Amino acid sequence: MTSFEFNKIKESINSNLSYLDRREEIFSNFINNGFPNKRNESWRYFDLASKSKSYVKKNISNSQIIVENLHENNNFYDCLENNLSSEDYFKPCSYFKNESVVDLNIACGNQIKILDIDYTQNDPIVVRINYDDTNISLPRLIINVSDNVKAKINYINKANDGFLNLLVEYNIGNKSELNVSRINSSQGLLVETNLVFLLNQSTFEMKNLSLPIDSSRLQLFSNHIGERSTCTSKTISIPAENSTDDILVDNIFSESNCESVSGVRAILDKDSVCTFQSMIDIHNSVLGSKAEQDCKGFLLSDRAVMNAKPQMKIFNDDVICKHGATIGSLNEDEIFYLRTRGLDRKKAINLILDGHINSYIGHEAFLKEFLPEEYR
Amino acid sequence: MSVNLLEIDDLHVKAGEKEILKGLSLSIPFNEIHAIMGPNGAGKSVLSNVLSGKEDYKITSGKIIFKNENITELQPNEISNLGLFMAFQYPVEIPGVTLMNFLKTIHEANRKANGLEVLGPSDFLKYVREKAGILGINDEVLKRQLNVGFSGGEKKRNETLQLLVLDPILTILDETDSGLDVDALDIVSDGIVGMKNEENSFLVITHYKKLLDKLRPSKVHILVDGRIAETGGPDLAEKIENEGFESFG
Repeated sequence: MTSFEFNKIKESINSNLSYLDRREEIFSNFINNGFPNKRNESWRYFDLASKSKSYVKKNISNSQIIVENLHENNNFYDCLENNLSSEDYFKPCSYFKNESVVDLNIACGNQIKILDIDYTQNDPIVVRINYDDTNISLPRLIINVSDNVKAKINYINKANDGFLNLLVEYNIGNKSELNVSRINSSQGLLVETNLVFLLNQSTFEMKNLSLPIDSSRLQLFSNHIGERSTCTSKTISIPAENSTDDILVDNIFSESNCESVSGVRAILDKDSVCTFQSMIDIHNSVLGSKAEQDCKGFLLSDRAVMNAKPQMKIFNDDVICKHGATIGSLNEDEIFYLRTRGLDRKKAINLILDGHINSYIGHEAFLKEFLPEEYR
Repeated sequence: MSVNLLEIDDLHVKAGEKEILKGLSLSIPFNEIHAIMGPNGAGKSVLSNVLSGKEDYKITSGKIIFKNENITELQPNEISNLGLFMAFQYPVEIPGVTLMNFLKTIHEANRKANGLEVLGPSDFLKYVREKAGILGINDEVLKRQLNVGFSGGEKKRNETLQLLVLDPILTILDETDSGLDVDALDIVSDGIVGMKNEENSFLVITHYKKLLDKLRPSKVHILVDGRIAETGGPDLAEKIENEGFESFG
């Protein structure tokens, strides 16, 4: 890969002088590594180099990042680069080594929005990401939750076209709790990197309903940098025909007595593909960790594919970990049972899948609204 | 036109290459309870599955006439909506679907298939509570996920609740008494006896005389090696209890 190919994108670096040298350096790093392809272990099921080829010579466009229903004491604002300290600006780079999508965002992204949640609010904050262009968009959203605050975000990512390479950072304060209900209904090429930092006794929970049309990758890195912090991420993945939903969750335990739960329930029909890669990474001085990861894939067609790759790096004995993966077609005895009660085959299957969705993410009205009609 | 609700005529059924039912014939008129008893492996559960339309079995010859309609080629839901209900020996668990939601879904499907008006939410709630009350099932149970974490007895009681809610014409009880304690057996059998009328019938598959003492069947059939070996009155169950199936081999 040459910088020449990325000339148009690179122009965005020169358009703003903040941290120019460091950004140039990160861009060089990106050029050296290129977009990841199947040879990169964590990207082996999502060949971004090939998927992004047509976007390489395109311009950078802005996405629409809209926040609604925000309490008057909480704030949402545009960030100029110089509003962020160098440390905060380059914070994601200190957690990722050779992660090209993050390097490209940090080096060339010129759209940064910040949501400060300083006060507890009972009504959910609505965050919408819209992108209707055919170019590349490199937005960055930083969500800061102060200490002792509880909040909920209903998050809708609706990229209708182009290549959206989004970086979202969640900084969760001490004894704070953030619940995110995420809808992914993207129709282009989406790579969304979530970076979660959890301070003492903080909680982050994401319920993710992923309904991509085309190719979508969500990578969530939870960093337990405070004791007794908890991270839960549960995904229902229903990619459309010929679509790919790639989910990677990495739980990094740097402090003691933390917990994580991550998993996927995938409903795969026709030629759809879902991949779930999950890592539990427990450092050697860390005690009392609890972690679990599991996935279930329901294959409704002979051509559908589910890839599961649970991984654990555990360097301490004081830990309770569970992992599991079940992939297969639906249980015919269950279908027969429902059919003997008068339901046709399709209705019986939908009722079983609806049950699996409910038992995994609950009966949340916001998520239910976006579910395909047959599962509501 | 047959006066019988169910007519099984010379039914031959294979599972894979193995013939399980070997020319079984059976008639059940309206307003009767019939019982089938037989040793393990005789084909009792295969018969109930075939009557319900399970596709794992191949009907090689013979026919099944239910309500004057040949159901040999029908789908399980079509058979169900005609009014045939099978209470399973081992009911499956469906996670995430509450018992109440399930009952509503199947009741609606049944009403729609028969061109009847679907009950509104409050009427349906009242209807289900009335039926659940007969079996001593409270609202908390109705909120639980279908059969998930239910004891064997609770599962059978739940099967009986579905039976009461759907109010079928022919009910097959496949070893409904297994796993039931004495009190639960009383509740379930009282529920069944209370349902029996001139417009329906029951086929009870069982190993035990106890249930038959409560249900007082019109006829008892002995199924051995895929055929009805003998048909008699309730005293036949008494004979089986004392002598076993050896004399029918």
